[in-house]
Amino acid sequence: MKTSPLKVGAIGSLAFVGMIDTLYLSLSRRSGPIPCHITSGCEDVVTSVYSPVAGIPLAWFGLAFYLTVFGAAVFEGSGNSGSVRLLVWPATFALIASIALTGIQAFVLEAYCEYCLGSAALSTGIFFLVMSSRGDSEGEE
Amino acid sequence: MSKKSRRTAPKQASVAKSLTLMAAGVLGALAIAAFLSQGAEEAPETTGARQEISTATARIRGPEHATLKLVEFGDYQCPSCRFYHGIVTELFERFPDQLALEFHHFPLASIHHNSVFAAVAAESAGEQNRIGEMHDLLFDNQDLWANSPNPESVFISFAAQLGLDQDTFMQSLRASDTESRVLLDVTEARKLQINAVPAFFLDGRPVPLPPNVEEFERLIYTALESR
Repeated sequence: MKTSPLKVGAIGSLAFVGMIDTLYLSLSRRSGPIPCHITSGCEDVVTSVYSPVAGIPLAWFGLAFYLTVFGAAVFEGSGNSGSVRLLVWPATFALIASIALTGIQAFVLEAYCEYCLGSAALSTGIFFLVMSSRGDSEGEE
Repeated sequence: MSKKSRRTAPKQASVAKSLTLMAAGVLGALAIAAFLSQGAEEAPETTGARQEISTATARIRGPEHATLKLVEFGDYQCPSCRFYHGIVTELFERFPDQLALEFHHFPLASIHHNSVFAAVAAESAGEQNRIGEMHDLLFDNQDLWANSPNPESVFISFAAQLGLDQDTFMQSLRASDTESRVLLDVTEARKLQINAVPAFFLDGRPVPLPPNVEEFERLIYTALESR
Protein backbone atom coordinates (compact mmCIF):
# COMPACT_ATOMS: atom_id res chain seq x y z
CA MET A 1 0.00 0.00 0.00
CA LYS A 2 3.07 2.24 0.25
CA THR A 3 4.05 4.60 -2.57
CA SER A 4 7.75 4.87 -3.34
CA PRO A 5 9.37 7.81 -1.49
CA LEU A 6 10.84 9.02 -4.78
CA LYS A 7 7.39 9.35 -6.35
CA VAL A 8 5.98 10.98 -3.22
CA GLY A 9 8.84 13.48 -3.32
CA ALA A 10 8.24 14.17 -7.02
CA ILE A 11 4.48 14.65 -6.49
CA GLY A 12 5.14 16.98 -3.54
CA SER A 13 7.71 18.98 -5.51
CA LEU A 14 5.42 19.41 -8.54
CA ALA A 15 2.60 20.51 -6.22
CA PHE A 16 4.96 22.97 -4.49
CA VAL A 17 5.90 24.53 -7.85
CA GLY A 18 2.19 24.58 -8.74
CA MET A 19 1.41 26.48 -5.54
CA ILE A 20 4.09 29.06 -6.41
CA ASP A 21 2.72 29.35 -9.98
CA THR A 22 -0.90 29.90 -8.93
CA LEU A 23 0.02 32.19 -6.02
CA TYR A 24 2.30 34.24 -8.30
CA LEU A 25 -0.48 34.61 -10.85
CA SER A 26 -2.95 35.70 -8.17
CA LEU A 27 -0.50 38.17 -6.57
CA SER A 28 0.65 39.64 -9.91
CA ARG A 29 -2.95 40.22 -10.98
CA ARG A 30 -3.46 42.23 -7.81
CA SER A 31 -0.73 44.66 -8.82
CA GLY A 32 -2.17 45.45 -12.25
CA PRO A 33 -2.64 43.71 -15.55
CA ILE A 34 0.06 41.72 -17.31
CA PRO A 35 0.97 43.53 -20.58
CA CYS A 36 -0.03 41.99 -23.93
CA HIS A 37 3.18 40.57 -25.37
CA ILE A 38 3.84 40.15 -29.07
CA THR A 39 4.58 36.46 -28.65
CA SER A 40 1.77 35.56 -26.24
CA GLY A 41 -1.40 36.95 -24.78
CA CYS A 42 -1.34 36.25 -21.07
CA GLU A 43 -3.70 39.08 -20.24
CA ASP A 44 -6.12 37.96 -22.96
CA VAL A 45 -6.27 34.54 -21.33
CA VAL A 46 -6.60 35.64 -17.71
CA THR A 47 -9.25 38.25 -18.55
CA SER A 48 -11.23 36.02 -20.92
CA VAL A 49 -14.75 34.80 -20.16
CA TYR A 50 -13.27 31.34 -19.56
CA SER A 51 -10.97 32.58 -16.81
CA PRO A 52 -13.38 32.65 -13.85
CA VAL A 53 -15.80 29.89 -12.90
CA ALA A 54 -18.76 31.09 -10.85
CA GLY A 55 -16.87 34.34 -10.39
CA ILE A 56 -13.83 32.62 -8.89
CA PRO A 57 -10.52 32.94 -10.80
CA LEU A 58 -9.24 29.60 -12.14
CA ALA A 59 -5.90 30.25 -10.42
CA TRP A 60 -7.66 29.78 -7.08
CA PHE A 61 -9.04 26.41 -8.15
CA GLY A 62 -5.51 25.51 -9.23
CA LEU A 63 -4.18 26.60 -5.85
CA ALA A 64 -6.76 24.44 -4.05
CA PHE A 65 -5.74 21.45 -6.20
CA TYR A 66 -1.99 21.88 -5.59
CA LEU A 67 -2.62 22.41 -1.88
CA THR A 68 -4.53 19.12 -1.75
CA VAL A 69 -1.81 17.28 -3.68
CA PHE A 70 0.94 18.80 -1.55
CA GLY A 71 -0.93 17.88 1.63
CA ALA A 72 -1.45 14.30 0.46
CA ALA A 73 2.24 13.97 -0.45
CA VAL A 74 3.29 15.30 2.97
CA PHE A 75 0.93 12.91 4.76
CA GLU A 76 2.14 9.99 2.67
CA GLY A 77 5.74 10.97 3.35
CA SER A 78 5.00 11.12 7.09
CA GLY A 79 3.93 7.51 7.12
CA ASN A 80 0.22 7.81 6.40
CA SER A 81 0.13 5.25 3.59
CA GLY A 82 -2.67 5.53 1.07
CA SER A 83 -2.86 9.35 1.07
CA VAL A 84 -1.53 9.63 -2.51
CA ARG A 85 -4.07 7.05 -3.69
CA LEU A 86 -6.82 9.49 -2.72
CA LEU A 87 -5.52 11.82 -5.45
CA VAL A 88 -6.62 9.61 -8.35
CA TRP A 89 -9.87 11.47 -8.98
CA PRO A 90 -8.62 15.03 -8.29
CA ALA A 91 -5.59 14.39 -10.56
CA THR A 92 -7.83 12.97 -13.31
CA PHE A 93 -10.16 15.94 -13.06
CA ALA A 94 -7.20 18.36 -13.12
CA LEU A 95 -5.79 16.66 -16.23
CA ILE A 96 -9.14 16.91 -18.05
CA ALA A 97 -9.48 20.57 -17.01
CA SER A 98 -5.90 21.27 -18.17
CA ILE A 99 -6.54 19.70 -21.58
CA ALA A 100 -9.77 21.69 -21.97
CA LEU A 101 -8.14 24.98 -20.92
CA THR A 102 -5.12 24.46 -23.18
CA GLY A 103 -7.55 23.73 -26.03
CA ILE A 104 -9.43 26.96 -25.29
CA GLN A 105 -6.13 28.89 -25.40
CA ALA A 106 -5.09 27.29 -28.69
CA PHE A 107 -8.35 27.19 -30.63
CA VAL A 108 -10.71 29.76 -29.12
CA LEU A 109 -8.55 32.57 -27.73
CA GLU A 110 -5.51 31.91 -29.96
CA ALA A 111 -3.44 33.35 -27.13
CA TYR A 112 -1.29 31.64 -24.53
CA CYS A 113 -0.59 32.30 -20.88
CA GLU A 114 2.76 30.83 -19.85
CA TYR A 115 1.65 30.39 -16.22
CA CYS A 116 -1.44 28.46 -17.35
CA LEU A 117 0.61 26.27 -19.71
CA GLY A 118 3.07 25.64 -16.87
CA SER A 119 0.23 24.63 -14.60
CA ALA A 120 -1.14 22.27 -17.28
CA ALA A 121 2.29 20.63 -17.52
CA LEU A 122 2.49 20.27 -13.73
CA SER A 123 -0.96 18.73 -13.40
CA THR A 124 -0.15 16.32 -16.25
CA GLY A 125 3.02 15.27 -14.41
CA ILE A 126 1.08 14.83 -11.17
CA PHE A 127 -1.54 12.72 -12.95
CA PHE A 128 1.03 10.29 -14.37
CA LEU A 129 2.90 10.04 -11.07
CA VAL A 130 -0.32 9.40 -9.13
CA MET A 131 -1.42 6.76 -11.65
CA SER A 132 1.95 5.04 -11.59
CA SER A 133 2.02 5.03 -7.77
CA ARG A 134 -1.43 3.39 -7.89
CA GLY A 135 0.25 0.58 -9.83
CA ASP A 136 2.97 0.35 -7.14
CA SER A 137 0.39 -0.01 -4.42
CA GLU A 138 -1.64 -2.61 -6.31
CA GLY A 139 1.53 -4.58 -7.00
CA GLU A 140 2.26 -4.75 -3.29
CA GLU A 141 -1.25 -5.83 -2.38
CA MET B 1 -1.28 4.50 29.81
CA SER B 2 -4.01 2.42 28.10
CA LYS B 3 -3.40 0.36 24.92
CA LYS B 4 -5.66 2.67 22.92
CA SER B 5 -3.87 5.86 23.96
CA ARG B 6 -0.50 4.18 23.23
CA ARG B 7 -1.71 3.47 19.67
CA THR B 8 -3.18 6.93 19.03
CA ALA B 9 -0.25 8.97 20.38
CA PRO B 10 2.20 8.19 17.50
CA LYS B 11 -0.60 8.73 14.99
CA GLN B 12 -1.39 12.14 16.48
CA ALA B 13 2.30 13.02 16.35
CA SER B 14 2.46 11.97 12.69
CA VAL B 15 -0.59 14.08 11.81
CA ALA B 16 0.87 17.05 13.69
CA LYS B 17 4.16 16.60 11.84
CA SER B 18 2.33 16.43 8.50
CA LEU B 19 0.31 19.54 9.24
CA THR B 20 3.43 21.42 10.31
CA LEU B 21 5.21 20.39 7.10
CA MET B 22 2.18 21.41 5.05
CA ALA B 23 2.00 24.81 6.70
CA ALA B 24 5.75 25.29 6.16
CA GLY B 25 5.36 24.33 2.48
CA VAL B 26 2.44 26.70 1.94
CA LEU B 27 4.26 29.54 3.67
CA GLY B 28 7.39 28.81 1.63
CA ALA B 29 5.42 28.85 -1.64
CA LEU B 30 3.70 32.07 -0.60
CA ALA B 31 7.04 33.71 0.28
CA ILE B 32 8.59 32.70 -3.07
CA ALA B 33 5.52 33.86 -5.05
CA ALA B 34 5.45 37.17 -3.13
CA PHE B 35 9.17 37.67 -3.78
CA LEU B 36 8.78 36.95 -7.50
CA SER B 37 5.80 39.26 -7.86
CA GLN B 38 7.45 42.00 -5.79
CA GLY B 39 9.06 43.50 -8.90
CA ALA B 40 5.63 44.24 -10.31
CA GLU B 41 4.46 45.93 -7.11
CA GLU B 42 7.49 48.12 -6.59
CA ALA B 43 7.01 51.73 -7.57
CA PRO B 44 8.51 52.08 -11.05
CA GLU B 45 10.80 54.85 -12.17
CA THR B 46 11.31 56.19 -15.65
CA THR B 47 14.24 54.30 -17.06
CA GLY B 48 16.61 54.32 -19.98
CA ALA B 49 17.79 56.95 -22.35
CA ARG B 50 15.52 59.52 -23.92
CA GLN B 51 14.10 58.14 -27.18
CA GLU B 52 13.49 60.05 -30.35
CA ILE B 53 9.94 59.13 -31.30
CA SER B 54 8.66 60.14 -34.71
CA THR B 55 5.67 62.46 -34.45
CA ALA B 56 4.72 62.03 -38.12
CA THR B 57 1.63 59.98 -37.24
CA ALA B 58 1.10 61.17 -33.67
CA ARG B 59 -2.39 61.84 -32.39
CA ILE B 60 -2.24 64.44 -29.64
CA ARG B 61 -4.77 64.75 -26.82
CA GLY B 62 -4.63 67.43 -24.19
CA PRO B 63 -3.29 70.98 -24.40
CA GLU B 64 -1.07 71.73 -27.38
CA HIS B 65 1.62 73.39 -25.25
CA ALA B 66 1.49 70.97 -22.33
CA THR B 67 4.53 70.83 -20.06
CA LEU B 68 4.80 67.07 -20.29
CA LYS B 69 4.17 64.63 -23.10
CA LEU B 70 3.07 61.07 -22.41
CA VAL B 71 3.58 58.84 -25.43
CA GLU B 72 1.61 55.61 -25.60
CA PHE B 73 1.93 52.72 -28.02
CA GLY B 74 -1.31 50.81 -27.71
CA ASP B 75 -3.60 48.22 -29.20
CA TYR B 76 -7.37 48.78 -29.03
CA GLN B 77 -8.02 45.04 -28.57
CA CYS B 78 -5.51 44.50 -25.76
CA PRO B 79 -7.19 44.11 -22.32
CA SER B 80 -4.23 45.78 -20.54
CA CYS B 81 -4.46 48.78 -22.87
CA ARG B 82 -8.13 49.13 -21.92
CA PHE B 83 -7.14 49.05 -18.23
CA TYR B 84 -4.51 51.76 -18.80
CA HIS B 85 -6.95 53.81 -20.88
CA GLY B 86 -8.91 54.28 -17.65
CA ILE B 87 -5.74 55.33 -15.82
CA VAL B 88 -4.71 57.78 -18.55
CA THR B 89 -8.22 59.29 -18.59
CA GLU B 90 -7.94 59.79 -14.81
CA LEU B 91 -4.50 61.40 -15.26
CA PHE B 92 -5.99 63.95 -17.67
CA GLU B 93 -8.43 64.96 -14.95
CA ARG B 94 -5.59 65.34 -12.44
CA PHE B 95 -3.25 67.23 -14.81
CA PRO B 96 -5.59 69.10 -17.17
CA ASP B 97 -3.07 71.79 -18.14
CA GLN B 98 0.25 70.02 -17.84
CA LEU B 99 -0.20 66.71 -19.62
CA ALA B 100 -0.66 65.76 -23.28
CA LEU B 101 -1.02 62.25 -24.68
CA GLU B 102 0.55 61.26 -27.96
CA PHE B 103 -1.04 57.98 -29.02
CA HIS B 104 0.59 55.62 -31.50
CA HIS B 105 -0.96 52.43 -32.83
CA PHE B 106 0.74 49.13 -32.19
CA PRO B 107 -1.90 46.49 -32.98
CA LEU B 108 -0.69 42.96 -32.16
CA ALA B 109 -2.42 41.44 -35.17
CA SER B 110 -1.17 37.90 -34.52
CA ILE B 111 -3.16 37.59 -31.29
CA HIS B 112 -5.75 40.38 -31.73
CA HIS B 113 -7.40 39.79 -35.08
CA ASN B 114 -9.57 42.92 -35.08
CA SER B 115 -6.92 45.28 -33.73
CA VAL B 116 -5.64 46.64 -37.04
CA PHE B 117 -9.19 47.29 -38.21
CA ALA B 118 -9.96 49.08 -34.93
CA ALA B 119 -6.91 51.31 -35.40
CA VAL B 120 -8.11 52.01 -38.95
CA ALA B 121 -11.53 52.94 -37.54
CA ALA B 122 -9.88 55.39 -35.12
CA GLU B 123 -7.87 56.89 -37.99
CA SER B 124 -11.03 57.14 -40.10
CA ALA B 125 -12.75 59.09 -37.34
CA GLY B 126 -9.62 61.22 -37.15
CA GLU B 127 -10.19 62.34 -40.70
CA GLN B 128 -13.32 64.04 -39.38
CA ASN B 129 -11.39 65.33 -36.34
CA ARG B 130 -13.06 62.91 -33.92
CA ILE B 131 -10.24 60.48 -33.21
CA GLY B 132 -10.30 61.21 -29.47
CA GLU B 133 -13.95 60.27 -29.14
CA MET B 134 -13.52 57.14 -31.28
CA HIS B 135 -10.44 56.21 -29.20
CA ASP B 136 -12.61 56.33 -26.06
CA LEU B 137 -15.48 54.39 -27.66
CA LEU B 138 -13.15 51.65 -28.91
CA PHE B 139 -11.62 51.10 -25.48
CA ASP B 140 -14.79 51.58 -23.45
CA ASN B 141 -16.73 49.11 -25.61
CA GLN B 142 -13.93 46.65 -26.34
CA ASP B 143 -16.16 43.68 -25.49
CA LEU B 144 -18.60 44.64 -28.27
CA TRP B 145 -16.14 44.22 -31.12
CA ALA B 146 -12.96 42.49 -29.91
CA ASN B 147 -14.06 38.97 -30.80
CA SER B 148 -16.77 39.89 -33.26
CA PRO B 149 -16.62 38.23 -36.69
CA ASN B 150 -18.00 41.47 -38.13
CA PRO B 151 -16.46 44.41 -36.23
CA GLU B 152 -17.19 46.78 -39.13
CA SER B 153 -20.87 47.06 -38.20
CA VAL B 154 -19.87 47.97 -34.62
CA PHE B 155 -17.40 50.63 -35.85
CA ILE B 156 -20.08 52.06 -38.15
CA SER B 157 -22.47 52.26 -35.20
CA PHE B 158 -19.77 54.15 -33.22
CA ALA B 159 -19.35 56.56 -36.16
CA ALA B 160 -23.12 57.12 -36.19
CA GLN B 161 -23.06 57.70 -32.44
CA LEU B 162 -20.42 60.41 -32.98
CA GLY B 163 -22.47 61.97 -35.78
CA LEU B 164 -19.78 61.34 -38.41
CA ASP B 165 -20.53 61.54 -42.10
CA GLN B 166 -21.13 57.86 -42.86
CA ASP B 167 -19.98 57.91 -46.49
CA THR B 168 -16.71 59.65 -45.66
CA PHE B 169 -16.15 57.29 -42.73
CA MET B 170 -16.76 54.23 -44.90
CA GLN B 171 -14.41 55.52 -47.59
CA SER B 172 -11.66 56.10 -45.02
CA LEU B 173 -12.29 52.70 -43.46
CA ARG B 174 -11.59 51.01 -46.78
CA ALA B 175 -8.80 53.28 -48.03
CA SER B 176 -5.34 51.75 -48.07
CA ASP B 177 -3.86 55.12 -47.01
CA THR B 178 -5.61 54.84 -43.64
CA GLU B 179 -4.10 51.44 -42.93
CA SER B 180 -0.69 52.69 -44.13
CA ARG B 181 -0.74 55.32 -41.37
CA VAL B 182 -1.37 52.59 -38.78
CA LEU B 183 1.48 50.51 -40.21
CA LEU B 184 3.84 53.51 -40.01
CA ASP B 185 3.27 53.46 -36.25
CA VAL B 186 3.97 49.73 -36.15
CA THR B 187 7.29 50.35 -37.92
CA GLU B 188 8.10 53.06 -35.37
CA ALA B 189 7.23 50.68 -32.48
CA ARG B 190 9.54 48.00 -33.90
CA LYS B 191 12.29 50.57 -34.31
CA LEU B 192 11.92 51.38 -30.61
CA GLN B 193 12.07 47.62 -29.86
CA ILE B 194 8.73 47.63 -28.08
CA ASN B 195 7.65 44.03 -27.41
CA ALA B 196 4.53 44.53 -25.29
CA VAL B 197 1.60 46.93 -25.10
CA PRO B 198 0.75 49.31 -23.67
CA ALA B 199 4.18 50.94 -23.77
CA PHE B 200 4.54 54.41 -22.27
CA PHE B 201 7.23 57.04 -22.64
CA LEU B 202 7.25 60.02 -20.34
CA ASP B 203 9.19 62.95 -21.67
CA GLY B 204 10.81 60.55 -24.14
CA ARG B 205 11.90 58.00 -21.53
CA PRO B 206 10.37 54.52 -21.28
CA VAL B 207 8.14 53.97 -18.25
CA PRO B 208 7.70 50.50 -16.66
CA LEU B 209 3.94 50.01 -16.24
CA PRO B 210 2.79 51.61 -12.97
CA PRO B 211 0.26 49.33 -11.24
CA ASN B 212 -2.24 52.10 -10.49
CA VAL B 213 -3.13 55.73 -11.08
CA GLU B 214 -1.39 56.90 -7.88
CA GLU B 215 1.96 55.47 -9.00
CA PHE B 216 1.52 56.96 -12.46
CA GLU B 217 0.67 60.31 -10.86
CA ARG B 218 3.83 60.11 -8.76
CA LEU B 219 5.91 59.53 -11.90
CA ILE B 220 4.35 62.56 -13.52
CA TYR B 221 5.07 64.76 -10.49
CA THR B 222 8.71 63.57 -10.55
CA ALA B 223 8.98 64.31 -14.27
CA LEU B 224 7.40 67.75 -13.80
CA GLU B 225 9.79 68.59 -10.95
CA SER B 226 12.83 67.58 -12.96
CA ARG B 227 11.98 69.95 -15.80
